[in-house]
Amino acid sequence: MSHIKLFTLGLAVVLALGGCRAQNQQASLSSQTIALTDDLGREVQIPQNPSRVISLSPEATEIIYALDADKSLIAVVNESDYPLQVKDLPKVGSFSSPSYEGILGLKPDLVIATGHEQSDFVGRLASAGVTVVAIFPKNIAALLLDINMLGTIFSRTDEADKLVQQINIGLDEVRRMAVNRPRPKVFVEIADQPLMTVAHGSLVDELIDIAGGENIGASLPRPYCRIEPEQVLAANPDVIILAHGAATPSEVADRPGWRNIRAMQDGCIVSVIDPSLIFRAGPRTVEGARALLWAFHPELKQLEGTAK
Amino acid sequence: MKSLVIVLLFASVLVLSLLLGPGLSFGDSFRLWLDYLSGGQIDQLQAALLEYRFWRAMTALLIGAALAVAGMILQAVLANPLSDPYILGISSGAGAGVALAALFGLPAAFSAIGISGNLVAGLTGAGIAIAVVIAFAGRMRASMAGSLVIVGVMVGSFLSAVALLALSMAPGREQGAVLLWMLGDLASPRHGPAQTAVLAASVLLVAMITIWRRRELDLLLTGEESAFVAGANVVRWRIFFIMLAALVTASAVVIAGTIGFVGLFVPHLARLWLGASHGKLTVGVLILGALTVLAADTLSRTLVFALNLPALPCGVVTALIGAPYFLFVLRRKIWQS
Amino acid sequence: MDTNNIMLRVEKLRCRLGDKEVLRGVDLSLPRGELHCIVGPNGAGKTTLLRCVTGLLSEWHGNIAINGLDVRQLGRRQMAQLVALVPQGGIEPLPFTVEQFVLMGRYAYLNPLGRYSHEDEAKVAEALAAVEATVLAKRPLNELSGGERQRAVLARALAQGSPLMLLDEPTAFLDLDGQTEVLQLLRNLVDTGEKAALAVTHDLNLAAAYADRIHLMKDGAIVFEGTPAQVLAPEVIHRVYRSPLQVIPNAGDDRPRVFIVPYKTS
Repeated sequence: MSHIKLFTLGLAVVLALGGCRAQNQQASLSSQTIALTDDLGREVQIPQNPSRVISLSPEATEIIYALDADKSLIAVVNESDYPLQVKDLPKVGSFSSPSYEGILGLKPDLVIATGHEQSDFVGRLASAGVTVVAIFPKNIAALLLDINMLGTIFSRTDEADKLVQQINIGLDEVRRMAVNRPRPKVFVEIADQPLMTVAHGSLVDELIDIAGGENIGASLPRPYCRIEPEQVLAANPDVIILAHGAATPSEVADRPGWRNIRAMQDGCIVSVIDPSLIFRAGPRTVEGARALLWAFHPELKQLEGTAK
Repeated sequence: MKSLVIVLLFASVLVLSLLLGPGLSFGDSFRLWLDYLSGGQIDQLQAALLEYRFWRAMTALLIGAALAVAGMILQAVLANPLSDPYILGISSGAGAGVALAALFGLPAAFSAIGISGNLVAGLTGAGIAIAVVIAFAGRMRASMAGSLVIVGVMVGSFLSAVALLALSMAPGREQGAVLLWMLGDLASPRHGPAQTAVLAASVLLVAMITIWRRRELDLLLTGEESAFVAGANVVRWRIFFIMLAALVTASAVVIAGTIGFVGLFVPHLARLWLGASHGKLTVGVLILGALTVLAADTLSRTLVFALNLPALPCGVVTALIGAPYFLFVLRRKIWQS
Repeated sequence: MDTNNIMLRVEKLRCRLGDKEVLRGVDLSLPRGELHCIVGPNGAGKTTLLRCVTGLLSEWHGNIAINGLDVRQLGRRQMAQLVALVPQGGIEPLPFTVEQFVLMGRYAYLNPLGRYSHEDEAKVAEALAAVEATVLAKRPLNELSGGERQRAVLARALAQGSPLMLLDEPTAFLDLDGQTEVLQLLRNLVDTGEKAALAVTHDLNLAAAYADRIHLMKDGAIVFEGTPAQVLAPEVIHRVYRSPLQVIPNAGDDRPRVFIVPYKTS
């Protein structure tokens, strides 16, 4: 008798957890559409197994490929560059200005957009009768929910669960490797004129934290925010990460006074991280966290190398 | 009497700009400066911070002087009191250059060979704009400064549109940076002796030439026909002064973006106090312009930190404070006379 | 013939502005020591004529010589040393003082260092005295009345020291005393024998009272040229003006007057 109770309890817990995971989505199957609430809070009816999908979000594109659902993808935006196959797909404009007519002309049965930057565009498409779903993976938690939502849309829920698990395991591993090491102060530079960095609320900030770093710009008022050069000097970061093309380590070393920053003196200035690894929430985010970890603790990278 | 007030104001703003900032508290800054100046031992990084403040203050002074003198020159050459350094499209050209460069990822290419991408892009854009305007200026007869303004405004509007278009197509992350640059901001990490020296050379050169040729400016301000019949080669001098103004404006713009309003209202303010004769006026304009931008930058830094604002570009501060103050002074002066 | 006795010689001057032929072959000769006036209705081309002489208009055909020199061969500084212009409409209220403004008239003599000499300042003082504006010297132009500004403009032209003075409606802002003062000033200037002046005016009587010769212009050409007595004759006047005018010969000199016939109620 107690075994049955235990079993029922266990089942109830698993079901409850499953329900928690899907708390942002009310997935109900009815006739040929699925009803969803997207990340803009819109209630959308999505056709089951959409076959003509346009993705205006490079993040969604990567997730779709990771879920092995890319056969239904018919077009993307210019900035989509991963995986390599996506470059062969037709383009419908850029991320900041997608082509309205291009999209309508392709007669998609589903368009996936980004909740924040493309919210106006979403409205325009919806009024034209196009089925649009907006995702907004602004942090890891939202990313995982969006992966599940896309899994539901493309009937790839198993792949979605697996991907979510992979990401969680990967990030946990990064956390584990960082936990016993000193936490370096980190400055991520995303622009130099004026000087800008990432703050709390941005994905990069979260990844820095996971990789065991202290983002010196964490408390700035906006996720991507201007920072005074003085503040960088005063914070004296241990690691500098250059996330834009306009500055090289030697140029940074030439900045008056910056030579005295610990990161410069220890040579801990990195510009090789592919920006999309840390800015684009998606399947490769774990790689991004790992890249940050190696930037903070180069000795770990050697270990990784020898382990292989 | 007035000069004493100005000197005191200047000194206090300078001292404040060296003591205020987000990296160190007021008290700490004060103590640190005393240690630094008396040759005491201080941490290298803290010295770097103090030096940064110093070079930034110097840059702010020079930029204010540059923009103010450019505005003064153009107001005389175009005999138009509403002229500012950007009226001939220089800033729009620089802005278009920077925005297009951001769009095509050019800064990365330039950085690889050790030059600031924004510098090259901005100068190129400004150069193109001014070349077009000067080509027109050369073809105009003595009596067509009004048309020159129209050409400048058209070139400027066109290039502004190009800049905004490029901006709208740039990646989201870079849009913020380009926009802040366009609004005029001194929060660059590059302030230092090398940059200051180049800027100072440009400002000094233009200031000296302007004072040397002040009689031509006086004459041009009375109107191009009046200048012509008094014996001035109006077309030649017009091109000469436009190039002077363009040089000093471009130097300021590539360092700090387009800080507005200083070039427009500082010359008028100086004229109210010193009269229109361009000898004394140039000196007054340089000093007032320098003071204005330094004060605006110091205020901007302080408010951003105190109120935890995402940004408060220097150019916005100059407009917000300059405009009402200028109107206030103007009203009083009008009532007097 | 001593050409240098002719301060200004204009021959067959034609000028087209847009699609209108504003000057259709003007001939004019102004000897040293003389004051001539140009009169005529609006649109006759009087101002255009002055602008061609000074070079403000450069698209004209014909010949213009000042003091025997072809103006097309002269640089700006040379021109300014030869001819001064008092333009129509005066000057805008600028923030310069009268003194600073008049000093600008000496621009043609500026040395390469960009400085004015004591001689320049002396000439400025002389010019201000001549127009009785010495007391206004330190006042800013934007605090003066229209008439006072007109004096400043006149002083600037005088300060230029050029032998040829061109004036476009110099009496427009002035009251009666002001008007006679200006013309008397011009008379004093030319009576030394060194200089010559050409003034465009609407005031026939003023012209008749002071000028040596009057040029009557209409529709881009000079229709009559002569002494005041010759010009202010009924048959001549009515070639150009339609108003009810009557000419009164003046006993005591050879300068007639013209007046408007009064309006009759009955």
